[in-house]
Amino acid sequence: MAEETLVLFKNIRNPKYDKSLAGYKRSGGFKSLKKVFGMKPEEVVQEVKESGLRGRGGAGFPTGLKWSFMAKGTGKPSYLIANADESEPGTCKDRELMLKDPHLFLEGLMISSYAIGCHHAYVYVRGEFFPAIKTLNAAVGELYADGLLGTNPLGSGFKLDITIHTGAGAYICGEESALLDSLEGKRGQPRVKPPFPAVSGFNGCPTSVNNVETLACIPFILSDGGAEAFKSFGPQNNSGTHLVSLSGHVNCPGVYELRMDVSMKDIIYDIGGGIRDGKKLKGVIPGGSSSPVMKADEVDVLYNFDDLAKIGTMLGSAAMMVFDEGTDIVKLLHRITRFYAHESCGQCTPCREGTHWSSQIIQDFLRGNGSDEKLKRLYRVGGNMLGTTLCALGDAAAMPIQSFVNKFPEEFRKYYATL
Amino acid sequence: MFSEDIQAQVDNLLCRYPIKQNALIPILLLVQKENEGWLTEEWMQHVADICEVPLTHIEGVVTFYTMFRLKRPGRYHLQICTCVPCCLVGGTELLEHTEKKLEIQAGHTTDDGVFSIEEMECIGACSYAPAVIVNEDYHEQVTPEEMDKMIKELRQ
Ligand code: FES
Repeated sequence: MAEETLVLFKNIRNPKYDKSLAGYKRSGGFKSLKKVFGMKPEEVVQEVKESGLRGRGGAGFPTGLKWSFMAKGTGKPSYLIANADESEPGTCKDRELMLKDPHLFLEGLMISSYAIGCHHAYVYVRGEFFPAIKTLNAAVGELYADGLLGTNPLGSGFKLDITIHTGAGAYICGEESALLDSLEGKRGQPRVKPPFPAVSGFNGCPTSVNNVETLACIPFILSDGGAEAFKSFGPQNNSGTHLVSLSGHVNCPGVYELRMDVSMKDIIYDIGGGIRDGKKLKGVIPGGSSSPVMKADEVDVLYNFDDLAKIGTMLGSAAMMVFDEGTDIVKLLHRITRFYAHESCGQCTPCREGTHWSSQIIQDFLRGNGSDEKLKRLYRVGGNMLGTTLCALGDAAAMPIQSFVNKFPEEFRKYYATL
Repeated sequence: MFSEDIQAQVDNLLCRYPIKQNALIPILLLVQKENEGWLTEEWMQHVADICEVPLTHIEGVVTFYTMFRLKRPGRYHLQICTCVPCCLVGGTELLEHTEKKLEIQAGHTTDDGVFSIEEMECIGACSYAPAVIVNEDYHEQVTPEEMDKMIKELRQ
């Protein structure tokens, strides 16, 4: 029987937990920060590298390595930006952390700021998250009042400010360079890379952008023996626990904290309580709406970065969308393509045109105007977005299209085949 | 042009960033909230002056982000998510139901100015779908019956 492993949700799963600063301290909070102030910043980065932590925002890039790219000796300030723009369809884990245990995430942000020499960190929260924004602002207020933020937290002499910044509604701002443009007060459009943010990020200064859940792992990793313990939770190269946002046609949707050696089958049938209304599973979109779709007979696989990559899909932001046998695949794909058409920033032609075009072709199927020729065209339009755009939105739009057509061709044919 | 309280909040935002322009989006959101949920050219010009950018820059920004509005919304702005997980469990039907109930399409406001509807892309509450935001509050696993009840209560 698969069950949760509680590291990030240790407090959240405690019904008596009080999420105020006092409550967080009582739960053992800020011990890691205190310990870290006695270490050299490089040592902190090294610990994070050794823990094997990979970014939880979608790309899975090693966090310690990302920090080690930060340009040094530039004479400019360095910045750490927490990416709380959670907007990949299916993903709702960062909201949980911010709402229910804000100080865990903020301690992680503080330790990480120390590690990369940042004296003013920003939390870029999507604007629609009104309740989370209020919770975070209140929590930051408590930290200033307590002296944990400001000029001399815990007598360390390390000056640190945190500002909660609100976005204003745009999926693309989850992409780190678009997020930086947005934070600067511009339209959020992805930048040409290089230079990477580690060299030229916020206002042209060295910057690291890290996901909320990634940062929330840091206090545990920096606790005594934490890095080793974190590593021991999953298969090699897939360290730690992660938060899985489970949604769709399961009996118990929710956000669950799991090790990375739990199989998708167990997540659907044990954790998620199986498919609702006694129906059969038809498929799963495993890692946010951009990940290639899987069929029911493929779910006997460990839910982690590498095992999913091996079968041609991806873990992404660990957002599992489960759908049952009654689901209309063409309508589902249409909804996904409509999303990307709405969210394309319009900079790159393949994505700006391709997202709309693909959505229109699928619309044709739904109206009874499909054909073999159009199915091929749909696949081609998807392919033309792969790898041809500045940021990953083009790929994100292409992968569902190609995988849906590959795995469920008969569903499209149903719409035009004459008997 | 601002009340004392808003001026204080604007000043506080300005001092949190290295450059005035950086504070632009939070200031615009603050101003929009104060102005009953929408922005006028006059307000945009004022923010442009504060942040030391041309008005055209502000126009570029407000037309890029979905949360900025150039039309007055209803007193209760119903933001209904129909993105993938919500759509799987009835989000689309919930939107259609609400449109019928209020006799307006998404993107519009009722004649009495009380309600407006907006169709949303994922609002980050997918495990508790279908999700709706009313002004600033989240409502989760909303059924058409609950929506009816909410509308009735808000109308009173
Ligand atoms: S899809 Fe509706 S909240 Fe994510």
